[in-house]
Amino acid sequence: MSILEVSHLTKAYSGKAVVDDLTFSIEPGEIFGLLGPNGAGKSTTMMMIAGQRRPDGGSILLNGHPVDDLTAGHRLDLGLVPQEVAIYPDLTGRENLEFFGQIYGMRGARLRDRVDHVLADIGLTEHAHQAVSTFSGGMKRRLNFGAGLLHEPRLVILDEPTVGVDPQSRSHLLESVQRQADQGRAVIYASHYMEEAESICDRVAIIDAGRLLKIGVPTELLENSHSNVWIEVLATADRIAPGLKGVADVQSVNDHEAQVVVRRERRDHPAEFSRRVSAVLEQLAAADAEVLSIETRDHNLEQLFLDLTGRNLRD
Amino acid sequence: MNAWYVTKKDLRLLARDRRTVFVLVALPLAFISILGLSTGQLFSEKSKSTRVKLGVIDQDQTELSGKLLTEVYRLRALETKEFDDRVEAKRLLDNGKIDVLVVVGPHYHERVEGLDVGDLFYSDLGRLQGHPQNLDIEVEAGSFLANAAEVVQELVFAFAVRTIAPDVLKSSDPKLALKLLVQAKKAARERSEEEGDAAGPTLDSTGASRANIVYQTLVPSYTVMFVFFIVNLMARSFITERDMQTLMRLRIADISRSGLLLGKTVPFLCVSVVQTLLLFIAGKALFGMSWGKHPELLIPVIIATSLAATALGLLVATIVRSESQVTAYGNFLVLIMAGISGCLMPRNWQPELMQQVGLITPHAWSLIAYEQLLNRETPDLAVVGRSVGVLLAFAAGFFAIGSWRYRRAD
Repeated sequence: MSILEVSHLTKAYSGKAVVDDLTFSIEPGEIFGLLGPNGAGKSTTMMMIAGQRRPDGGSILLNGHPVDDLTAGHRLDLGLVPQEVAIYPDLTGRENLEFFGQIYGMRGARLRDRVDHVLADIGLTEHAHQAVSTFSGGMKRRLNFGAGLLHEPRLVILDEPTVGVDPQSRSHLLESVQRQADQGRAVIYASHYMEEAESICDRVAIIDAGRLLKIGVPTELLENSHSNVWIEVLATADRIAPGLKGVADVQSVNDHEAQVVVRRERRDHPAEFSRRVSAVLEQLAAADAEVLSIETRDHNLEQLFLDLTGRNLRD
Repeated sequence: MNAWYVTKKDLRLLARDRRTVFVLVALPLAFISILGLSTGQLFSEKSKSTRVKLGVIDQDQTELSGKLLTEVYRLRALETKEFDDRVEAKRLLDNGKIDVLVVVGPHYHERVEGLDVGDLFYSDLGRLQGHPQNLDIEVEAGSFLANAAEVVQELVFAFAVRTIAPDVLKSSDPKLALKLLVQAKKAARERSEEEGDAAGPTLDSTGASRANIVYQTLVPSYTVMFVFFIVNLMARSFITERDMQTLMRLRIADISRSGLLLGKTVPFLCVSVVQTLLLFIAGKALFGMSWGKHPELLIPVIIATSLAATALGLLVATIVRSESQVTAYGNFLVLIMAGISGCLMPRNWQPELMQQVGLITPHAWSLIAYEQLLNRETPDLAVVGRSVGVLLAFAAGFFAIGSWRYRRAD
């Protein structure tokens, strides 16, 4: 049975749909990536899953129970790690974790054990008695993450957990997320960092403007897309761009060199793509632009998003 | 149960925030000290301004004139100053520095010696004919308070008759005078025994001296004003929790909405009560203020005031959207309410209309209750009870609207 079932979820603000007919489900032990640019509807979706926003339509079942009618016991199934560092800077790391454990009903030896365990898990045991205000940004993010896991929820919602984090803390956090899944917890991982999602998510849903564009296993999604051809030439972008308009994209590298990208769309027939590459090369020869290199580059989720929407993720 | 942990956490955060101690305790104490020093004179002047300034010249300089003037000096409604030089006294009378001038002439004792008992009993008809001039006493009015001269003239005449009566009787009928003296002393002794030790100084049985009377007003006024600064702290706490998203964490945890509100409100209630107690203790220790005859009755007023303040804090927290709004609207609200309620200027100095307008604030009801308990020899407990009731109604109203808005915003 799925731990979370989201069905035809909709939400609008001032008549504008921010979540539009979203449907997906998550299994125990699965890391589910919710990918999209800022404003795509990821946070609103997660707020609705956490019971903090009321959907206009559709349903959300957490472990078979509607989230807007969760009993105290079912609330324990849910753990949230907000995008902001939602911890108290004037308390120590341990005091923060103890407090969040207490409001989830944990007491005595169990609370102490869980706090010790989480502190070890997020690598902050040595700093447990320091005020959080003295922590680095990465340490705060790790504590923020730990506070959401303390009560051992069955579903953990992570909203952009690695924003502004140093590489060491990022790696630590991603390993911790993987460990949660290994322990059987379902994880929703919202991010606009596609490389992170590719590396740890079992499945991803790509959303934009509240709509689901694509859902599936990252490798399968990428299998259906194709590599682009990148041609580096000794010519200015201004000189060759007019002749390649509508056939390829031209980007300036420096004052003397440019990069030509022949994009392979999903709808492209292989023969058609070959003809386009030939046409581009002929055009470059006609413009007397020396070809310095030709290479193909693998598609990634970022390029897939570009293919699907015509926009970059970070636009 | 989990609400208690929210309370405990907020108490811990408040204890670690030095700004809280500064705003809630140090700042009001500084205000009270500065205003006590700078307006103490003003408060005294107000009571002085209601007293008639009387200049006195004793040209008789006998025991009899001394007795008369001792009676005059004893009257608190008069602010008396003795002069030797009549010209100087007249100049001050003309300038309005004194309101009335009384001159006991050099023939006062001679006139008294010429009186008999009948002149005392029939003072309007005999040698006196109801006029102090017949005793060689002149009463002269200045131009600023002319009507006061008539009152003073009557008083001085009455004092004169009272003080000369035993001497006149003694010279007319020594036996009767002695008999009456013995009876009077016996009656005084019996009255003294009946009253026993209960008869103490009655200057001011609330315990307030003239020196510290100013703090009887300043301490409760500024305490009430600064108790309501808890509104800002509370609203800021909610805004900070919301902005940091810890509030969202609390809302999805195993804690009800009302439990969360209660957990967030109780710490500020505790802080507010402790703040008032500290300010009242400081008022007594530093400024010598009195807690009145029934200090135990201050407790319900303190708690009811703090309840109203924290409930208002909850309401404001649901209205403001940012820290800058807390600073702007919170301070505006607190200062305006303090102004119209009588925290900044004693209520009895305000015009009647403003006193009535002030009743729309909880501050005013708190001040009314404190005034009864701190400054009245016998506080009207019905007034105190009604004030506490109104404060509790304010608290319930603010809390209900705040809770409703909080749920609606949810």
